[in-house]
Amino acid sequence: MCRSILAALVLVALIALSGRALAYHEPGTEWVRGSPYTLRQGELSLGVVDWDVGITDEVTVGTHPLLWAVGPWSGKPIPNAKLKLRDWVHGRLALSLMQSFAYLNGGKLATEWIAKNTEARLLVFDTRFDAAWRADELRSIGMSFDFTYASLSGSGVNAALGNAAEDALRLTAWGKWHFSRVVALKLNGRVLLLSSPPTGSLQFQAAPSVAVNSQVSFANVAPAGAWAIWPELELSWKHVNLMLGAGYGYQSVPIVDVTLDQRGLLLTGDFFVRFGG
Amino acid sequence: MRLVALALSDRLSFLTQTIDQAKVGFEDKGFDAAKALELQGRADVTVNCPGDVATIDLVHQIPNPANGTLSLRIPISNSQLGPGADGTATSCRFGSTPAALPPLLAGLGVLGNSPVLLEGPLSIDFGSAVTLGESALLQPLFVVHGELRVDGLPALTGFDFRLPANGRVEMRVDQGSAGNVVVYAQGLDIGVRERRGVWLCQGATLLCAAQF
Repeated sequence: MCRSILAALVLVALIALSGRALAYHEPGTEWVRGSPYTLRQGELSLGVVDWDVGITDEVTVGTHPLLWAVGPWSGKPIPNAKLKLRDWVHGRLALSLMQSFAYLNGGKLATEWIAKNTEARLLVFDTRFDAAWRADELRSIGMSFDFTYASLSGSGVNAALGNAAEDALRLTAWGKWHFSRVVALKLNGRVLLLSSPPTGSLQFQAAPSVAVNSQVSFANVAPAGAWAIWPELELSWKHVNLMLGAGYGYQSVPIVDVTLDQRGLLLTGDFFVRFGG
Repeated sequence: MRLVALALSDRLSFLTQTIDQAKVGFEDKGFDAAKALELQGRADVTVNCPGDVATIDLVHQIPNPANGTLSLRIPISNSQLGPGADGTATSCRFGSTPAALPPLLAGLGVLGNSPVLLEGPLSIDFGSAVTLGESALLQPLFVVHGELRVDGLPALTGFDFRLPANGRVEMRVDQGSAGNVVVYAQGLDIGVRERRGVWLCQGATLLCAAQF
């Protein structure tokens, strides 16, 4: 396992060093994550959070490597993928639509954490619309609507969770300033527009004469209006890209995008290399 | 005295058994293991009333629609049940147990042999929220907004009673300007507590004596 990871890293480094310069904060090499932009045809982006490849200049497909990495720990692989389509004009205004999914068979986790002979399956669909406007070479603004549907089903723990489904719609807006071709500052703000916490139902016969019909949901899910604001420092060199951010607001669970009803410090980060294309 | 006659039997225990059974059911389904999820919601519990049986046993009781139902809505918060519930009784019959009445009351006949009929809304206060996975000693307080009927007697409305531990039953009787009187019963003994003192009535003749 370790040798294969090391080999992959060496391969990435070799390709990165031999590839032509594709990074820097310049038009045509914008960051893909959290924006409507896509990779160029044949371009690869390998990072901690995302592995993406440009099929054409307008189509990027990718996956979350972390979810694959935790597969052995969670008992089974967590298949996940995303497809992003952007407009073909490539002008100052950029628009994109992204669809992603992840499927977690969490039987092993549920058995260890909750109860024996428990099964739990989580299916997440996420649809995201992004738009951005490049005012000039130094400044750009953008926004996104992000709709997440998560379905939790299983047995055993099903008693507590039923076949729960969750819907959430978030609006994110951002502004970005490029101080140089390497350094950029991005200010993000997010608000939860719609929140339907995971709600499950359960019916059982507690005794021949006692019937129980229950409706339960998670108490710790934030209501609509939950917000967060966080600045990010984006550093983009020839191939290597690094992002660090810190902010404050309602915290959310990655992947399922459940916004928790608790505010606190938000930390974000990303690291990736881009090459090819 | 009719309240006391009712209290002297174990017939009211089906109310606490209902809550107990719902709790056990949730635990059997793994609810207690999901405490960390901080679940919230509600549980609608419908129990078939026991009817005219000598011993209340909801676990083995065969449901009989003729005995009516009692519906309870129990809130779930922080993966706990309660601390109270609202409910409605629909022609809920729970039977007489003449053998449990002292001779003095059993001689009244109509009380000892007639089923009791509960109709209308009621509220229950568990005393505290019931934590799943932990043993709970329920000592609920019941407030009956509906009416209680025993054949041959006028309907009782708007009364409350408490079921403390050890099979004891306490009922509050509003005496208007005279204040409240609490009638409690345990086994075949009856006690009366009010602002002037406490009296305990014991034996077959229910001879009463001041306690202090």
